[in-house]
Amino acid sequence: MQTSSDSTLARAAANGDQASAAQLYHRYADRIFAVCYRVLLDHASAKDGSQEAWIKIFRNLAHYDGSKSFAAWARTIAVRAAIDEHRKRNRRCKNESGDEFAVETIQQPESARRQTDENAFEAKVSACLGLLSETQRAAFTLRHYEGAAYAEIAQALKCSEGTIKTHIHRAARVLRKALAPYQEVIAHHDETDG
Amino acid sequence: MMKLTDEDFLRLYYEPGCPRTEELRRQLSASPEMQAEYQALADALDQMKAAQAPNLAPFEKVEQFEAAWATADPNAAPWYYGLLHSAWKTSSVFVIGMICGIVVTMNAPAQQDHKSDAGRQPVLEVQPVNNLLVIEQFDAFQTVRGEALDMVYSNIEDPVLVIDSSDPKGEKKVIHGTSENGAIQVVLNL
Repeated sequence: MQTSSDSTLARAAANGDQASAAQLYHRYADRIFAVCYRVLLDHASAKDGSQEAWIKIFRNLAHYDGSKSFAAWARTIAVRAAIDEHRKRNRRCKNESGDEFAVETIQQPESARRQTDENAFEAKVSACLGLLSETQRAAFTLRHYEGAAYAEIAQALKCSEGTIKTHIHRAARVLRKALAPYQEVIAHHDETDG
Repeated sequence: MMKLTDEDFLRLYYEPGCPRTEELRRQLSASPEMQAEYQALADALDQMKAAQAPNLAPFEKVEQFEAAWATADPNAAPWYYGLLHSAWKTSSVFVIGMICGIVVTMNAPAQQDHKSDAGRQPVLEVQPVNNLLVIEQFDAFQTVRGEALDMVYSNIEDPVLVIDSSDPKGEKKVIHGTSENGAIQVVLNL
């Protein structure tokens, strides 16, 4: 079966073809959700964030000109939607509690009832990513997991390349320090299991 | 020998193939201390990459797609269409109301004239002092009464000649009156 290109599907979906939109969605749903999850570090928030991202993607399909890959275009929208969702949730937390405990919320993700691989991710990575600011997390996610160039990240996060480099250097430094003791625990755990 | 910076380490990690990286790699290999520092960073970053993010469950994907597509719907009218539509509707009602008001206001005196016709007020009234002939002119008809008519139609009591000009075919002239002291209604078409 011949596979349609992202641009072809995007054009058809922009003209209201739901089947093409569904194909695009299924190609990139996991990736968009992952971007949102790594910024928001919580399943429910990531679900809301990625849904907002998809609404924006579908609404703006007519503006997608194919000059860059659909994945790059969509992840820019996704990371912005995730940051918006994070800020929205932080405001809600502040309003409800009267003081700020957003960082705590991030560092203790919601569910112990998700699947094993998700728990592993939360344990290993969420705790470390939770030490970063939302912009550092967004920049690091785009660079580290999506392989985006500094220029693209700067455009997505609406700041200079220099600022993005600083965010990523700081993020790398924090993660290296945070993972050092954790690596020892994992190594010890592996030895015990072995 | 220059100490490698965080930026250099990240370039080594993320851009292994670029020419500047080769130079950095040579510097790195010359210093075991920097090599160890770089290795710690690379291990941490590798570990971050190894941990997979969770996915949405299949049913969550179906729900999410349907909700997002229904909300976005590129075929739907843009948000400002509703606003323009309601503004257009309101202004149309206002304009139609204004026109109706103007028409009603302009027609109001004409309706009053019609009412005075209904009250049968004569437009022209000629009434000699001796009541020989009394002529009343209405819009579409004329009545003639008086002593002259009484003399001509002496067998009819109170004869009144009605000249109706409303028929485009020609005037109708009818004598109305009574006889036998009002017991019999008399109508004579002339």
